[in-house]
Amino acid sequence: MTSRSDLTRTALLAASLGLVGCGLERPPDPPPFDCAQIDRAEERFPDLCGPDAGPVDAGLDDVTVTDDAGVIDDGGRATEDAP
Amino acid sequence: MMRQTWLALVLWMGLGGALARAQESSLPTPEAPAGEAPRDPDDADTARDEDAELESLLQESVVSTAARSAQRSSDAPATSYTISARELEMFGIRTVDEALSYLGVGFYITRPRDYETGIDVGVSGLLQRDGGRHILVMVDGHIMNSQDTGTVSPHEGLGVPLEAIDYVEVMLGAGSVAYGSNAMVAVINVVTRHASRGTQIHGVAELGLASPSGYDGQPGGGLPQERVGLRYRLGVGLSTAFRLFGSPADLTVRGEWVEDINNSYGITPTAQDDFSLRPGETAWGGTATHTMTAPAAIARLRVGDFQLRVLANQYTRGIPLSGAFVDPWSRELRESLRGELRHDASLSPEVSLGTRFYADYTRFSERTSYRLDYWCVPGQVDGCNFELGSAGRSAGLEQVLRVDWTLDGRFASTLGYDVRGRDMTARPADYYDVITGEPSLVQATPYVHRVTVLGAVFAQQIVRPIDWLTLNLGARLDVDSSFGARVSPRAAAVLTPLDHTSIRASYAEAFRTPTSYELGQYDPTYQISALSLRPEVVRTVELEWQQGIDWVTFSLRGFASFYEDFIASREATEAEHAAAVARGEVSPTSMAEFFVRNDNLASLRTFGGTASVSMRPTPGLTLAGSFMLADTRAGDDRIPIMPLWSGNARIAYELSPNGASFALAAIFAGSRIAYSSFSLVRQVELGEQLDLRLTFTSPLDFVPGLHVRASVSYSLNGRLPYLINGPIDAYPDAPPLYTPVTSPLFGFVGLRYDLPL
Repeated sequence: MTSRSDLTRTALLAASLGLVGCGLERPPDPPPFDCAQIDRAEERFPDLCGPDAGPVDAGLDDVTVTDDAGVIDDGGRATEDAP
Repeated sequence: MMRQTWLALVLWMGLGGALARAQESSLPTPEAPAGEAPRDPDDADTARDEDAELESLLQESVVSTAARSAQRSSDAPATSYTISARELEMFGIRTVDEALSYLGVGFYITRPRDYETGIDVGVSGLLQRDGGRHILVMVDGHIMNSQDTGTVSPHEGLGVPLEAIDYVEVMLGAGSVAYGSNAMVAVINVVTRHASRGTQIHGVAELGLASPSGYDGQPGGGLPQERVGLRYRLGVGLSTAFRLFGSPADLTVRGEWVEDINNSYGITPTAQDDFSLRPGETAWGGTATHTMTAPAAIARLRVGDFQLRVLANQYTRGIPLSGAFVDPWSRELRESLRGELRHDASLSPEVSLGTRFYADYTRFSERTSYRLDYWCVPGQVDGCNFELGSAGRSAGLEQVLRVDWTLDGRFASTLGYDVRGRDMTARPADYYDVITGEPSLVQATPYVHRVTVLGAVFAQQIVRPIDWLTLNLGARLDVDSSFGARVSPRAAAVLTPLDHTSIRASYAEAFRTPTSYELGQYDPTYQISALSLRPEVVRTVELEWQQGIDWVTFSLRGFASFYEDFIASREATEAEHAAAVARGEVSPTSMAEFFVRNDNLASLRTFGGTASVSMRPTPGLTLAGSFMLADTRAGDDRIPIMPLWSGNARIAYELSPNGASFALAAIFAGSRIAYSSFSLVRQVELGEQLDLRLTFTSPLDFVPGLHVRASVSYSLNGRLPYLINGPIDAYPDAPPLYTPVTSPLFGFVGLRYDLPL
């Protein structure tokens, strides 16, 4: 006969295992940056793919976040109060 | 971190085994009645039946949230009251937040339904755009605040079918001494029904219609593409009592589906170039609509002293007024699955032990769509679809030992502990190209995974040295890997010099843990993570006088609250930006001056008071109401949204007990400073608020068990104190554009059927 102790342990284990595998997945990293593979690359990445762009060295280090980005007061966008 | 998690699991297993052994040796006696051996206040059970009898004898509420043991509301160490299921029905209440607004004391609640929060809950003068983080909401003692974000939505998103609610108990003031984090201004415990005898099936069907509204926030308007709102609610349930393995058992299951295809409402079009316009659009605004869907289910099985509870819900609503106007991408989603195994043991007439093992899964995401490239990551020149989200998993064990040394409540002790493990995974800033749907091609999408552990011990001592004086002293120590340690003390003295006269003085401290989301959230376009934050803290002193005179009872309460270390956003320093670059959160070529981070910044103080009265001059007639006057300031500045004064009033007449009833309820509030997320908008005040609700209920005698309820509501001021647009220095004459009350005029009719088998 199953004891209360066993039942309790089984319940604890079931509840704990139930938590596994429900998290959000880690998003994949961006693919290697290649102007030739990007639609309208010249328009979308003028610094990297435009006529005046230098040698393409993919990714983060060569990308400039625009001066307009990151305005604190964004007229309805979530900032500090978003959960 | 993995090692910590497994260590915590092993610890739980060991404790569970030890607990089970203790249970085997304990006396299998049922709960002791209120006022004798203390019981678990989180449990509806037969206790509510006992409480109802006791309440009728005492002519006042029996409450259990403030002290975690049953006592008269006039003896409680904090202002406490209950709202019964009968009141919910009689006043046409559809959600817990409506109950608190129309029937509660000390609450002021708004539903902006915007991007930042769907609902803002103000209590005792404090109202923040915080997603409910400063209140603690429980269902049968189970914490409903998300463990990864701290937020809770006491509207349709709470996830409790309306007919499952037996009563709502509210404790105002600091409650961390009993419950830990989030219980800063109020604790709300929704207690659900249970099966007492036999078997019943339940059904409910409600259908509502809402008038379209115009640019002025009033019903009608004749806008193009306007529509009448349709809202329906369907619920089913089963409750049955039986015997299982030789023990009394009962099973209660209820499910509900709510869908709101909202009426159209007018938003005055604006042609300003900083609004997101889709190709072909020349102005932002026009006729807005949205939908909301909220299925929920709750189940409880009790066998002897054991109980198993499961709650599940999903809540989805459109967000038509953020980013692009009425964009189908923009919506809020909340989902949860919660479970709890509980055991209540009476070890002796004096001693009881309550044990809860609980586990929660919650998921949250919000989306909006931007057509201005500067809201998006580089390369998304046509705009972007933005989404933030998180998933929280938590599990814990709580045990509470109660000892009533003298069996009359004169000297009663409570000891307990709570251990909890929490896991959060979050994607706080996913940007997808609005044309191609691609994520950023140059920037890694933010991802955060945090595991945190909480351990807490708490103790409370009730001493009644003489008949007219009750002292309540308690403290709780929370040790949390999110911030360190925090002690939350409370001291209360209750004088009862005369029958039906009670005077209470109390001091209490409470806190709110910085959540994993607040610590870890970052966005490559404007925000770096905080990594380290202190808990928010409140210190509150209160003085309350409660008086009953024949058919009138009233309460006067004054309070002063001092809040410190509120978490808000500030500009990041160059050093902090450089550290974020090193962590890979943001681009090294981004500029520090455009980045913000969370920090402990704000200090607030509130001086205020509440008054409430309830009168029953003749059988069946009830007149009641409450009024709150509270001045909250940050420095010399009043905080926005929260009015200086607010309250509610109601009158109801029952033709016979539980028979037909007519009820009229009102919410009123003074002018409010309108909130704008754009700091350059000049301060404007929105005028007074008055909402009215008229409800008729009646049993339909030709079918036993069948009840009808019909209600109509009207908001005289069709606007909410949230600015979509407003005057700035460049456009000083621009009229303020307020967020509208989405349904200023609506009504519904419903049938409820309780069929005994």
